[in-house]
Amino acid sequence: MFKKKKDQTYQSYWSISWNIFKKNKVAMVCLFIVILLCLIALFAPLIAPYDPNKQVLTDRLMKPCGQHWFGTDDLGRDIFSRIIYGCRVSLSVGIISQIIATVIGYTMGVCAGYFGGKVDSVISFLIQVFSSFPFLLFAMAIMFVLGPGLINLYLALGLLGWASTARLIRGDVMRLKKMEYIDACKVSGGNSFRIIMKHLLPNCLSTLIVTVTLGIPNAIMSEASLSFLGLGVKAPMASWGSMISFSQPYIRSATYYSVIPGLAIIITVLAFNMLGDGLRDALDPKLRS
Amino acid sequence: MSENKELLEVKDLGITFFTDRGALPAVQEVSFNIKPGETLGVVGESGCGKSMTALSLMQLIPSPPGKITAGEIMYKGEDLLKKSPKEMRDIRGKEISMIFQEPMTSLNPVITVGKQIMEAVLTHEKMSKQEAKERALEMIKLVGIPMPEKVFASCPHQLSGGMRQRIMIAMALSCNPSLLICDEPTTALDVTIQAQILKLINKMKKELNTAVLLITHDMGVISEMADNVIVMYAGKIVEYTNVEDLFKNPLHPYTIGLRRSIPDIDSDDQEELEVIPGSVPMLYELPKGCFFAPRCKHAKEICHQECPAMMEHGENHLVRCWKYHERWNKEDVENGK
Amino acid sequence: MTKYLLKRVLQAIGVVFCISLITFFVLNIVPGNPVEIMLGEFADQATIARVTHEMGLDQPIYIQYFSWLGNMLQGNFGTSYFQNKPVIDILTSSFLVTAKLAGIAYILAVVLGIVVGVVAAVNHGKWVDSALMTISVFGISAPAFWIAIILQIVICLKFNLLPLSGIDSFKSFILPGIALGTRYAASIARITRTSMLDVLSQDYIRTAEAKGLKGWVVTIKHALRNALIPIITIAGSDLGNILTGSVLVESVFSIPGIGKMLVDSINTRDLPIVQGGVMYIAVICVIMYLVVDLLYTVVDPRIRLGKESS
Repeated sequence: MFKKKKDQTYQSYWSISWNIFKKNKVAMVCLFIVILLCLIALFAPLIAPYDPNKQVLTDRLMKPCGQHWFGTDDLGRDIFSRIIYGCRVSLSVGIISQIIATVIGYTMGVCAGYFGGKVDSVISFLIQVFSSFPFLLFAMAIMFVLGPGLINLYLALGLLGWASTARLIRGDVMRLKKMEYIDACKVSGGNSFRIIMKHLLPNCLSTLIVTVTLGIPNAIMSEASLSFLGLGVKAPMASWGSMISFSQPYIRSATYYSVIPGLAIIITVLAFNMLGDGLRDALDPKLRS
Repeated sequence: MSENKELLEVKDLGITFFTDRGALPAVQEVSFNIKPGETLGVVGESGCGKSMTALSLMQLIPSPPGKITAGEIMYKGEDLLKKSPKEMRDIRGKEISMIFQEPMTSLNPVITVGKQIMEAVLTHEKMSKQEAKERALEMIKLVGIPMPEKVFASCPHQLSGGMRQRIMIAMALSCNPSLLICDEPTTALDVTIQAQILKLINKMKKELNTAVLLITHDMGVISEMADNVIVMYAGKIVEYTNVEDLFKNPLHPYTIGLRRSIPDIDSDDQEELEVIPGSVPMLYELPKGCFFAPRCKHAKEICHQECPAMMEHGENHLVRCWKYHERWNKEDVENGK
Repeated sequence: MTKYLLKRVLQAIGVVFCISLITFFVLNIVPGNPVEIMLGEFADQATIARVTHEMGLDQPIYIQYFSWLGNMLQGNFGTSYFQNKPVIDILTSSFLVTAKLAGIAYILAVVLGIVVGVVAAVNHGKWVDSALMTISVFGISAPAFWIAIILQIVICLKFNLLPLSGIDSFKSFILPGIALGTRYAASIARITRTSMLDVLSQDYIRTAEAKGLKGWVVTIKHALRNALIPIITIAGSDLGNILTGSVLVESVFSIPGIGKMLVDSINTRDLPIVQGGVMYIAVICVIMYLVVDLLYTVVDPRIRLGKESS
């Protein structure tokens, strides 16, 4: 009763969302960090002072200094440069695997929600199967079969991560299907494909944006875990997870070697998580009064 | 009002909401008295502060953002606003009880209703569990529910809205309080059930000699239940009188508007239902003068400039309107009318 | 209720069956002949052919699948290529270690998570709330293996308080348990807070307060019990994640659990252990999810009684 808008002028859904989002300082900071990380990933060769894979065996395990901001690793490689290139790996795995997962999840979810009946039963069962086995375990199994490598990571994490998206989209579509304008479209002769692309997709967009943003940090975390176990990227490619793994023998002498890649993971995952939370708060019509 | 032994005296109560739009006065200058066994009706549109007034007596205003910022609440001669949280807990449910608008959501869904009544009893009375259970069953019977044992063991979702409101009444009265606050007790119920619940409240009130503070937006309910009535508008009392006077001789233009906006079956002349133009002002854009002035067809310059105080007009009849002030006619002279 | 139970059990069996299909066929497209891997580089063709036949690997793949499934149903997970022991024994003994670690981590996660979440919700909007939630966000974002290494550096190397690795005593499980549990404690804390805030604004909480109940009675008895459903959902799915996530911590602390066993077998390409291990963990997870589903009905009478009447 106290919150009723004074001006009843029409505002679009997206501009209202943006206004809510803008007020969320934490989310804005995280958006800035995410953009920064993307720029770092894109322009890694320009930013990194050294070749990330160049071994200088005389400079092994150097402490952070003016020359090597984050020190060097056990093979004399510049850790700062490897962190920069590792950002590339993390973000590309996060984003590409989420795109794969989202395409599969959206298709599955829409089919289940739109067609219902047997299609729905089968897809719902698949969703249940895929959400009831432990993600990391099967990611390990797939990486075991495919072997380490960036493309295999995209595939493994993408193929396994679609179930939650599918479930949410299915719910959205089932809700939307009951709305009159979909009927109106059917009556006026729109075919299913047209309805799905023109009417359902825009309405599921906010759900998709949120699931992708919150899926990316999970994928990044999984990539780091797999790389830590030696099932992620191929050596000598720099990944934050494998850097932590290689740092283990040196935790007594070179603490920074273990600490820095972990901080990189935390900052990235945290930024995406908080951004996703902020987006959800801004985009969820259910939360609006 | 006569001065003999008031149960509750509220003086100049003020409640403020501290929001990002600033400090909003939800309730201002509210004063009223209730005697033992008496029913005071509070009537007004939603958002006029009547529920907040009721919650403030129990000190259950959602805080933040709400806060009692002025006045005193004298209950049996002691100021409730000076009580410690522990003392206040002993008063809630024991001395003052409350039933709410939404029987569907006001009972805890995962606890059986019997246990919820027992809980109230065990909190305030030194009783064994067995005695508390007997008391609970007795209360369930008293509010007119058949098969008390079965209902005792039921969960709220198994009961209808009317049944749940009966349970709420049983729970509220289980410790024999001196004051029962009913916040729109029948609004969410079917019309036939409404009458039953009101009858029940009246019956229980007489049997237990409980005073009732009845909050409603329904003038019909007021006419059936209340002894005295306060009419609230935008956080302030605009009229305070007994129920006969209110219906026979309403003074405030807002009360008159409320009166005319309900159909009167008894009246012979085909009086058309009136609608009060405009809407209740938001708390962040309260007008400078009388809060009702923008919607009032009698409003003059003074109404928009200054907010009137409560003034006595006739015996035991208080009203907050310039029409009944000596300045009203002077004003005309000054303006050359 | 019985009908609901039966349906859930049947569903779980279906899920397990599907997982077995996926596991078997995915792991059978692994490149390289397993017999060659098993016998080493210098085996002659005749021996390879003989062993292939003995192991039934010359049969069509669907027959291999059904014989594998059939054996597994009888508790026969095959024999490890390299450790001449039945896979089931290897898995069970290492699982017991993991169960201990995961159990400690899980208890930590649930207890700490719920306490932190409730405290934050009760102090909504105050500094305690913001502080706890900030810590939780960091907890969610930090990988378990990194926390494990940091704990080693600080607790073991700097202050020498707890053992660095191994499973010699209960003490050895404390740090791994913390490392593994932190992330899940943080996520349970967040969901608990959200759920509690939702419940605390409900009408029946006001009713409970109006009865004059003490603050903690309202919080625990009236609010927390209603807030439990989403918490159980998250805590339930975390159970499987903690079980598999233990692989990350086990390798840091050299704990011979099922996760480490799996990673080692992946590195040596010991297929029966990998296949069996994946199935073993998957089945345990499915059973746990089933138990969680049953927990709902205990907590919420609406589910229990609703199903009965329909």
